[in-house]
Amino acid sequence: MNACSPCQLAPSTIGTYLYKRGFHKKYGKIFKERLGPVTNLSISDPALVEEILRTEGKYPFRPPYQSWVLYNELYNRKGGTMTADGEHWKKCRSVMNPKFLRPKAVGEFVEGINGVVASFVDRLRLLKDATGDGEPIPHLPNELSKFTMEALGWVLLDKRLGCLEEHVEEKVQNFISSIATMFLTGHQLMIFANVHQKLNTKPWRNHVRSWNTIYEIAQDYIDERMKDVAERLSGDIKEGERVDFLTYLVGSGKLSREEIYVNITEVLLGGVDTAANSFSFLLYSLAKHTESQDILLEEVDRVLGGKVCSYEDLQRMPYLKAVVKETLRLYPPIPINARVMQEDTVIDNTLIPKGTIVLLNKYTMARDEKIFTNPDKFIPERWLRAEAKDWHPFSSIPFGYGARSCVGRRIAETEIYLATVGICQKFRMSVSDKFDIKPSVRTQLTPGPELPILFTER
Amino acid sequence: MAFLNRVVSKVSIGSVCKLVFPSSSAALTSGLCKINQLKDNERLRFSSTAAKHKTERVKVHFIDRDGNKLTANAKIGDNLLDVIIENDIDIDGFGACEGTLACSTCHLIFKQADYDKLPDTPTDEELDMLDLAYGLEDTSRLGCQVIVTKDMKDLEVSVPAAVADARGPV
Repeated sequence: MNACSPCQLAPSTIGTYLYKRGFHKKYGKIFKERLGPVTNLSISDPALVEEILRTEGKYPFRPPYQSWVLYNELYNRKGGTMTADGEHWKKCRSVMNPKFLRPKAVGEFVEGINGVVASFVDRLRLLKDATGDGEPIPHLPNELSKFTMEALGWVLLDKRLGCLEEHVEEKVQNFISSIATMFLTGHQLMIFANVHQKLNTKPWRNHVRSWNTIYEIAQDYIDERMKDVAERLSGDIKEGERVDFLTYLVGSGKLSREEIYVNITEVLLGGVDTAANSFSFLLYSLAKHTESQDILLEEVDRVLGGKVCSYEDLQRMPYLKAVVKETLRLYPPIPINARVMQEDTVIDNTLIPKGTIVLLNKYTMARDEKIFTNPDKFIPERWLRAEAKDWHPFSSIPFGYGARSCVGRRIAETEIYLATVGICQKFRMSVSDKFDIKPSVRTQLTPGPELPILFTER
Repeated sequence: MAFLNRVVSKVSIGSVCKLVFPSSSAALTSGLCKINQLKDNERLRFSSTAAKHKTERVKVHFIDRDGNKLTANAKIGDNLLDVIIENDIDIDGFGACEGTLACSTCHLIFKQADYDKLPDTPTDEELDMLDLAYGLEDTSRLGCQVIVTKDMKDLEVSVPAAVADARGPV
């Protein structure tokens, strides 16, 4: 195994991932990397990633940011599905799983998400008309965050938060901005977070402040719903009646109120930015590749004929799903995932000692020309089932794999499918030549603050 | 409805009120207590399965990785992952994601004739996960997505060979 030069501080730009790509080219599919006090193993080979993920055991351990751990300690929080590990993580995850991730359970959310999509399309039209022809809607990624927050808020809390109204409450924007700050500062504090805490540096202060804001607002939303939940649980719930997520969570009796706060908060904050970034890249890709957009429009019109898309309709829209897969291959929202080895493991004739942090470089794999033909090109067709696939199936796993894969996967996919359909039914998209996206990384791959997309009515 | 049935049958009375919501509102606590104080016959009203006749079962056989035949009494309407859990059938690493279609560890291989008779074809979500299954065959399915029917009497399905375990002594 090769070792790369020591301590490379990660800048918050796409450059991080390009340099990873460069290192993998130089040092091969597996190399050691020292980042300050931490030595990581970097892997960009799908077969090795597969081995790691298949042998990760009952409690797959994803190393949390040190800053998250320090924050949780500061406020005596145990963390939830996003920041916890081990048995506590498993307990939280097992309660969420049946209602949040099983495909049939997710089908129950389609009608509500479609309601949010309708408001979102109305809002887009309003913004488009206010902006004028030939001008991209300003701060479009932020608008997409409002959509994902409204949709996820509805799923988790059975409540329309009002993020898509013309005048939104201040806390909506505070929440969205705090998520971005938390992930950005978490990324900046990746190394020596404890030192930052001791010195009370600006990134640390911003990190704590953003977490606090996230918790305050989420708890506010949850508390507003708790009275209804109690009433619901004290009455008769009839067979076949829809039970909303929060009522389910409280009624399960498996999580304390504090644990409910933590888990809802973590899922909400984990699902707003990630889905909005992916959705941004998807719309950008469709606007840029009008030939793919035409094929998608044809599928949408043929399957739906103008009506609202149901859960069953989604099973008949292979091109839509291919577009989402191709977007997530090119722009994996979490470009690098990680695991802490739970046992001494031999992979590729290399002993990886227990406790080693292994970085799974999803971005590098998904753009490897040895794996994908024309890896930097947007070609949804490569994902159609009839096409022969010659790449290793673990080459593009944007949501991860296994018990610790993305808990919000089905909800995020459903939001993006339905919103894409909603937009395609009303608008055509093209790119403005005034500017291009400026991707950056704040834990997540983001397209930057502006998207050069023009909408025209169909 | 299944979820409430689970809630009502598994949660004990005192622990919920005291442990779960130390600071919750009185309304919430009383709501939960009321659910937990229901008598058994009242609880059954919430259960979707209770109103039906005696649950019908069929025998289903699993051939494990060592070639052993393990027989289960499968409840009609359950999925094959549920059957394995309910019958305490021990297959290492089976069903890691709890039936959420997030892994492919409940991968089972059917005989062609049985596969052709399965009432539902795999959904897109199942096909995506099957792509990531180890030892994929044309007649592979994920156990969590296959619902037991009356016609499955004496069905025999195989658990594919495990991926070479990378852990262990060095």
